[in-house]
Amino acid sequence: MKLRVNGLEYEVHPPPERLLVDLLREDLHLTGTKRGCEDGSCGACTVLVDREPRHACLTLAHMVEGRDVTTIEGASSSFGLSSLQRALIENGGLQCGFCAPGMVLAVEACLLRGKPTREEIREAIAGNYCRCTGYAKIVDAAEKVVRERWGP
Amino acid sequence: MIADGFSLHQPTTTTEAIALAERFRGEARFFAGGTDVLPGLFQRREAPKHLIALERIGELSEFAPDRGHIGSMVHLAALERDAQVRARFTAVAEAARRAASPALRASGTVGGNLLLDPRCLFYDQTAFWRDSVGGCLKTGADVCRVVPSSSRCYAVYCGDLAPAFLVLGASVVVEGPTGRRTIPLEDLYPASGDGKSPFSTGRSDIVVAVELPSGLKVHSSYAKLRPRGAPDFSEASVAVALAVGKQGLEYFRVAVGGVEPRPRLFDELTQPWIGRTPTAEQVHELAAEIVRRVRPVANTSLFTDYRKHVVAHFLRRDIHALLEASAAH
Repeated sequence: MKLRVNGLEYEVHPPPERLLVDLLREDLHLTGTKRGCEDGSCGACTVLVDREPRHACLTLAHMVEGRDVTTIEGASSSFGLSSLQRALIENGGLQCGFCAPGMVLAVEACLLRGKPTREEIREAIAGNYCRCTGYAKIVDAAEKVVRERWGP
Repeated sequence: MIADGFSLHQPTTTTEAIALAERFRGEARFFAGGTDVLPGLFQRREAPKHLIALERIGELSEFAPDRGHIGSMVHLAALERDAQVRARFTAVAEAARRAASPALRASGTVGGNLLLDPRCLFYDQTAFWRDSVGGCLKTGADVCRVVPSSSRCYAVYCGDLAPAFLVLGASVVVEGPTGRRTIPLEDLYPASGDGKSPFSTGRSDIVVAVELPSGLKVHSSYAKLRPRGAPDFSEASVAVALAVGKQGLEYFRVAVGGVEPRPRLFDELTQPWIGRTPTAEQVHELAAEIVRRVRPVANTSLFTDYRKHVVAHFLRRDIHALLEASAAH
């Protein structure tokens, strides 16, 4: 089967039970996507599939055949970190960093749908655990990006 | 990690999917968004040898809210965002929005939510955990760990969409080996069912679509109790739909979910109000009567008395709010 990951086309032959998170980490060596709870509560494995957030640990690899997958490796570019990643660093929006890949993509998915309110940002990360920051600084960072992109 | 391998089938028609289910009867299960089935495989609550993915059956993704048609593979995220669903079937949009988290709603489907496997503190655990307590009725042992004297399973039906669809008078189109049939949604959850086998559908039946009455003009709401504002399953849900006309109530239905093995409509208590309008005290009494009839048991994270208390509160609050909104309309 074929799929696109971060703009690159791959041809892979996963067994039926292969999960997207394992396809990414073990087969494509994209270890930025983290494996956490495996039941949909923690959000650490969040990636984008066709611009929608999805849990890579609750997605069979075969379900993304022909789809466009974005992982944390694709969130930044060769020019450096994304504006959201920079804002997270500047605002203290990450400490241990384990939730950050999923958190960044969950917020990016929300930003892709237009200018969000603070409440909409909070809802967008409702499925992403962060045990360090207490979330406020993450939402602050996302709001900073919203102001940069859409004005106050 | 999935301990047991399986074959994955990706049929493109319902006929093909049902034929596969019949061919591998007892060893197969249908697979929609995967958010309920995959944790079950990780925890070895089941180990099917054949997964039949429904994703490639185009018909199941048909979404035409203008004529009240919602295919079973439509994602919860689509329901939550659709302007027509929000305006005309508000309870459904609210229920979708309160289900799980954005990523789960992007994967999770209408059919999967309607057929959500009932949950219990003693069942939704790893195989190691379940074996250490000796199993329960739902895993084939002969005792319920919550109500030891019971011969029926008390796992709770936590699907968010069902109560909302029920109060709006939805039907479901079901296809099985003998063909297609349309049944009222309440018939999907028979009174004879329990937490172990809650649905009237068989293992080879596919829920094709939900049909909502397209001419329906009602105000509706959905409220959900959960420990956090994040991806928690329902601990008590209340859906209300009503319409007030010149002669009082013209439409009035209430459903409660998240407290028993099936979501329940209370038509026997609401229908007598057609043609009249209840006072605040009468709404209070109606809520109390509904709560007297629901029987939650201690198999979720919140106390049963608290859950009943909240059901009464949701009923009073939402019936009042909808009576006002409908009268002002």
